Amino acid sequence: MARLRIPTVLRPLAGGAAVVDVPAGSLGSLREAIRGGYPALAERVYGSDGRVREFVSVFVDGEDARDLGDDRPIGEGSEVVLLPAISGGA
Amino acid sequence: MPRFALRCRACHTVSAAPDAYACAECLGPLEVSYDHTLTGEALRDAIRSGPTSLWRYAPLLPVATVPDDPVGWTPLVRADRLGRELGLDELWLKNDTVTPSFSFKDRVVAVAAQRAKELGYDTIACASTGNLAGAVAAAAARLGLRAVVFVPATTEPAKLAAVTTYGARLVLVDGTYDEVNRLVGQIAEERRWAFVNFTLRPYYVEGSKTLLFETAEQLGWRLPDALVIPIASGAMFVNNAKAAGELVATGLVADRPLAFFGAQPAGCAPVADAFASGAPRYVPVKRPQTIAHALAIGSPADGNLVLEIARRSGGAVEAASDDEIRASIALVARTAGIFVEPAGGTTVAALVRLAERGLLPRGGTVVAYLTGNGFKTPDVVPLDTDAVVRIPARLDAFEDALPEPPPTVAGRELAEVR
Ligand SMILES: [Zn+2]
Repeated sequence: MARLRIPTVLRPLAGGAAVVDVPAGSLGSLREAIRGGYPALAERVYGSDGRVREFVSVFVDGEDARDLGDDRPIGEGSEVVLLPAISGGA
Repeated sequence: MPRFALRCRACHTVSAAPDAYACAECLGPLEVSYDHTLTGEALRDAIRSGPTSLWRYAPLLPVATVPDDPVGWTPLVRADRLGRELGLDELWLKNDTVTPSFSFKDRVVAVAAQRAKELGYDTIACASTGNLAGAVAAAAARLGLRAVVFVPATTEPAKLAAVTTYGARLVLVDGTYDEVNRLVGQIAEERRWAFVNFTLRPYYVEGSKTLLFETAEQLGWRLPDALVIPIASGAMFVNNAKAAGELVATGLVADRPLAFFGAQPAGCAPVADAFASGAPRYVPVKRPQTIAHALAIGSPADGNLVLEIARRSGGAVEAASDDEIRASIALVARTAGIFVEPAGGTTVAALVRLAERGLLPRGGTVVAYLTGNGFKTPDVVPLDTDAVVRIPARLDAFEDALPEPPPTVAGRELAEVR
């Protein structure tokens, strides 16, 4: 089980929740879990090719997961953070 | 109908929320789009009768009311001696070292802070490499807001003392700027604070347009042929291109080709590297290593758009080593009398390289932005001991140390100062 943090702009697609638990042991199973539990959210986060969309960032325990493969493990209790990719910069 | 709205740069959807920074449809970046009712000579008159600050361009900025907060309208300095050294006939330096907190960040924060007040926020906040922290703290003090700033724990102490002196709360984060940035991105989702470079980013970046608005007006309402701009997130670069478009669209200047050149330190040059290799997208730099902390952003938010604009406009993105940056700080100090921090040194170093490579128009109007003051980073350029003599407090000792005619070392210095 991983904790998924959802940015304000996407919370309506997860019933308003800021944090949800998703059963996921890898990046690939994370995507499938989001697709299963929150299809509208998954639609915004992933393209039809399964890749993270251009303007979305996914961090797993602080690491940018964009270019990590589906096999990248997600540990029990890991934190997965979704953020708009264009955020900040001085 | 409102004069401006937030529109997605990617899918063009107009945002319903006035304080969002990501598109609700695609999470793309929101930017301010305007319905310009005032144009041409009427707009020029309105600007001329405005205050001698960036607020004279209020018709081109996303604010409802103009605050009494004099920021901007900094000198555009003709730099003939530096130009001669570089083989450029008409070189100008936009001297943004002389703003309220001594960096161009005062411009972007002025706009964001005013918007924060208009939207009912009582606290402004930011993630910063140092300069923005000072600008946010100073603006909060001027406008009666509270400030909370987040910086990497490695930030230059000279920049931080000012922050707490202005009365801001300072959060030192163990990590790189990009790590601070990500943390603050999460905090911005939870706290109702106006994070100027997140929550209010669309308004914030508009402030850097005023660099080109002022430059164009100071040149007698014309665009230069080339701009040399430092790249951190790339927002200044991208929004100066937007500014050029708005200046032309409102009839303030005639349309002419303007080449956009970017400057990065070699120790954190994702955009310059991609430019050199021809890649369409940059590869993030995980561990920036440079004295130019203000430019040490390994994942620049607007980096890919910078690449596109540089290529489309006939410009380039150049990287300079720390040694070149130090040498360039001395060069611009010696030839133009402006003491810049390493970000400014990076810009001048890129200017030198671009001139040497013949990429700048030799006979054209070239403008470089000097965006931060050297007194903020005093440790970067050591005292030049060759230029120093120490003497007892006696006239004969002075005559011995600096006899007339002057010895070579002092003679060189004196002759060049004249
Ligand atoms: Zn969009």
